Amino acid sequence: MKQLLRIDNYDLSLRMNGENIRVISSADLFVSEGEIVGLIGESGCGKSMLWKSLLGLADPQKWICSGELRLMGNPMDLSDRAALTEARGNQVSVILQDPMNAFDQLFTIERHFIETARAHVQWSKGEILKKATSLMRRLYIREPEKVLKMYPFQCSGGMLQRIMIALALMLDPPLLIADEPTTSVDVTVQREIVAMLKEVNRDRNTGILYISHDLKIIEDLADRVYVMYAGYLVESFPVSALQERKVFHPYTVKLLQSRPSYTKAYLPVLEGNPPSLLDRQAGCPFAPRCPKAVDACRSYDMHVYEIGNQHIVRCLRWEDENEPAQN
Amino acid sequence: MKRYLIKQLLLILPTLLIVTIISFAMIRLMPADAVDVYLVTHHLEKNEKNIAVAKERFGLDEPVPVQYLHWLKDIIHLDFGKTYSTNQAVAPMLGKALVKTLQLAAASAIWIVVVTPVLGIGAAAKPEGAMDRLTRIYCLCGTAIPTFVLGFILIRLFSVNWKLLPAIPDGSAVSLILPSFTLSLSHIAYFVQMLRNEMLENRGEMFVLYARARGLHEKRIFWSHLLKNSVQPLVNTMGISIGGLIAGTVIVENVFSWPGLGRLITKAILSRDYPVIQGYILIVAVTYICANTISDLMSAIVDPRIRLGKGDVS
Ligand SMILES: Nc1ncnc2c1ncn2[C@@H]1O[C@H](COP(=O)(O)OP(=O)(O)OP(=O)(O)O)[C@@H](O)[C@H]1O
Ligand code: SF4
Ligand SMILES: [Mg+2]
Repeated sequence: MKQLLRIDNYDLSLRMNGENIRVISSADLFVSEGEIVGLIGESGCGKSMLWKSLLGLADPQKWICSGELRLMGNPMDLSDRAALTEARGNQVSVILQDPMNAFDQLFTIERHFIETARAHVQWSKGEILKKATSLMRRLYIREPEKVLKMYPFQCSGGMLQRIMIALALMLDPPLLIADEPTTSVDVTVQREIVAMLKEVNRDRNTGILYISHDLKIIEDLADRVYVMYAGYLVESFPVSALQERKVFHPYTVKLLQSRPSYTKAYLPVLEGNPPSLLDRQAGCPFAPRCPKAVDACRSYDMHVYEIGNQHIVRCLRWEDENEPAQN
Repeated sequence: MKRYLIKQLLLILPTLLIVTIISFAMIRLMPADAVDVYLVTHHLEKNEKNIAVAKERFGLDEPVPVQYLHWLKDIIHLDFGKTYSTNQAVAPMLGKALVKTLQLAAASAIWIVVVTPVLGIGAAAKPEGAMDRLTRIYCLCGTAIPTFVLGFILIRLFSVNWKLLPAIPDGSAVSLILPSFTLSLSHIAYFVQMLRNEMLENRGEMFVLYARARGLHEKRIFWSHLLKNSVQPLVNTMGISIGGLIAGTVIVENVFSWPGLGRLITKAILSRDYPVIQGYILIVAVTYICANTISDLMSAIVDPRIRLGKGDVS
């Protein structure tokens, strides 16, 4: 299947007081056509910076990235801002959290559609608006003609979130990145949005990278899952592994345990905090909180173990639990 | 919006009443009253009789509240009274001076509106670049140098040394250049800083990130989203500041001998010419109210949140 997005050995560092602080370390990730991929991790682990830096949205004065990036199968130069600008909104669209602040309050919804289309294609205003209304109607926005004339502050948060999805779909991008689109809306709207994304995925075969710290939503939505901890993708697996409890990484296991049944799914029940950017040390970053940690973990180089079909884990203990050392 | 205008209109009268009452009382608290000054400047002996005559002539023999009511009655008929010193009608005097000051303020406003965006946008386009540094120095000087010092420096350079521009008003538009520039300089410095900071701050806002994420080009984001959002808070302040221009001409007009309200009021205060002072205060109050209303209207034009009322789902 065609891979829409693929990164190999991707690193991201933050320049701070003359030092380079590693924020994302040797990440490998891909999203294929028609696939919904979940990315889960605690606040601050680097989920947003991952896509922002990949799409050229990180300030180059502050952030340094390296590694390989492929978009729609084509290798991309991470420093080629023009090419990345062209890809954004056209090949890859994003849906952000907090649409109230994402839309420009001084511009009508219509202007948002027009400027986005004009950044990439030469459609007439009529064509753009026709496309916008039909998309909005399909996303269950009533009276789209009227909504187009409104300003963002005249719309509710849930409505703006749907408009954002419509805007993202306007140029039929093969890939959609949704960064916690349900954090600022209430539970009913959350369900609606998740359902809409499923529908989009099914009807248009759009690949979706869905970022969240809500395991319940990821479980419900994704085909494949990446778990991120302190800038490392520590485990990735098909979503079935969650249901079958076949995850291995102690962090993922904790995530599953800390989820209070099926009522409210939040992460913070985990004991302790992830290490802050400044006191990340060598070895496995999860070691201070890990029940299985051994001394060797603190010098572990975080290399990857392939433990099954599309199942990858970065944990030293995999080896001694499953492939006992031969003497 | 309509409701706002009606409210504004309804507020004008009480505001003016309060301003004039307070100023009426305060003027009469100044050390050395009108009669003293009149007697001294007219070389009259300060005795009971002369005082009584002067008081009666100026209508100062009555209690202050009664004086105020008389004044109010006259003002309603647009009669500003006669000056104490020269016995001329005050209204045409104020009128002439007002026209002159308006010219000066308008010319300054043009400087502000033209120079502010050039420097502000230039500085914000490349933070810490050459333009930004130069602008910062200018802003520092613009706010630190007192107007009269700047005025004298400009006269020295442009009029005395290089003989490019007249220092004294000769009725030509050219003679407006130096005084209006002097008057606008500190205002420009203030607005340039404000515009630059707004633009730099807005750079980090979500709407910029979202615009970038939709593939909009950097230039387009700068000139439409960033600029519009950054100018919006300036519009209101600018309107109010234009009211301040009219009241703030005293020093500039004296430095450049500009025959406007500022010069008139200086003379009037020195000679305790109550009707002139009172008329001046009325004019300035009206100007401020108008400037406020205009700036609110301009804000409403730029900002749909004000125009349509925020959170109003229609
Ligand atoms: N502009 C910035 N300047 C400095 N550090 C930053 C900046 N943006 C993010 N960071 C740091 O980079 C790290 C990763 O941030 P990121 O926004 O990717 O987290 P996240 O996983 O998306 O968290 P959340 O769930 O809260 O959105 C964090 O530790 C954060 O403190
Ligand atoms: S490597 Fe060690 S510390 Fe890290 S998760 Fe595995 S067992 Fe825990
Ligand atoms: Mg985030």
